[in-house]
Amino acid sequence: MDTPERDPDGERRRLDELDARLKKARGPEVRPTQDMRVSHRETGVAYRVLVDMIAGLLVGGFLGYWLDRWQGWAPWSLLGGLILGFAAGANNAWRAIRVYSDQAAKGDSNRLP
Amino acid sequence: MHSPMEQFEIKRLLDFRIGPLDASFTNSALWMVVAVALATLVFVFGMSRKAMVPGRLQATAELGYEFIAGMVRDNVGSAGKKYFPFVFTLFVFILFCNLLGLVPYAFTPTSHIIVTFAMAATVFVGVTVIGITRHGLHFLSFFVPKGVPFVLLLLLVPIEVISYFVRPFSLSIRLFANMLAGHTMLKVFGGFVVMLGLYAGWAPLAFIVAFTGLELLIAFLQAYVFAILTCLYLNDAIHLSH
Repeated sequence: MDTPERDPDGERRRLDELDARLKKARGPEVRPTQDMRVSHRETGVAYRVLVDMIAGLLVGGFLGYWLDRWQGWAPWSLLGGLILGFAAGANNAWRAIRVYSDQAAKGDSNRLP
Repeated sequence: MHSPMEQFEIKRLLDFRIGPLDASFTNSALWMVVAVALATLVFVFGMSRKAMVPGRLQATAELGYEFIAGMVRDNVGSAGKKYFPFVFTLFVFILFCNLLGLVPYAFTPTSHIIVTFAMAATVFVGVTVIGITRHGLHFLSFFVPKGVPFVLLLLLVPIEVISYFVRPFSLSIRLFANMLAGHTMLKVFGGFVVMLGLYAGWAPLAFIVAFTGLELLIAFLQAYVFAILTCLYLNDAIHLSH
């Protein structure tokens, strides 16, 4: 049995051809349109949402704690306050995200909070 | 070695009392005065020549003006025009406080929550008063979501009310936490440079250089976020829309 003749030049030519066909099939190269400034701003939106949720918990928890001390309902108003505060924080975060996605949908990603 | 938190210490420069009230002139107050003076200088001198083709300082002043004017116009509409001076003042004051805080040996007033909370509370009270004077009792409909069955309202109205009262807290915590964290990081890595000395201190030094760039961005971004949230709250109060 003789081994098939190895032909490095022909192999390279075939690979180049395959490469060219692949490029043609994939269509023109698409470059990312987003620049760094937008992604910084998205980080800003993420931080905003994080702080919204934490502040909601803090305020709700403080209100509940204060009611507990004042009325002696421990620990029920702290519990209720935390739940309401979490809901309020999530509400604020949801609103912030909705403003963001509305503006992003309009393609107006340069003016985002 | 100094502690990283030492840079946030309030020091009395001039003792001053009004009755039981301690109204001493502190380093925080000093840097607020510096920020106001510098901002006034930039805008007064920048616009004094009123050149058709602006110079560097005039271009800076005009850029700041148009940036905030556009922000107010886009987010509040024409009804927001009369609140432009307030938003602009807030933005410039926070921006100068943040930027001046990056100067070595300077103090950053915005790294104290009492300063940021005072500004956020002013915005909160002002916006609420604007909403009530514009809409009277109808302003309360802001807290009632539309198209919701009555039973759910019992749960949703308290959530809406708390959401509203959370605003000044999230507004002030955001600015203060960003400033506090950034300056602490810078100081901690500054300590690393001294500890590692001439041989290995270069790595944290390089980090500090890069991080100072990021801090410049954050100084601007946080002033921007404070201003645009003020605009959004104004819009809510004026147009009663979520």
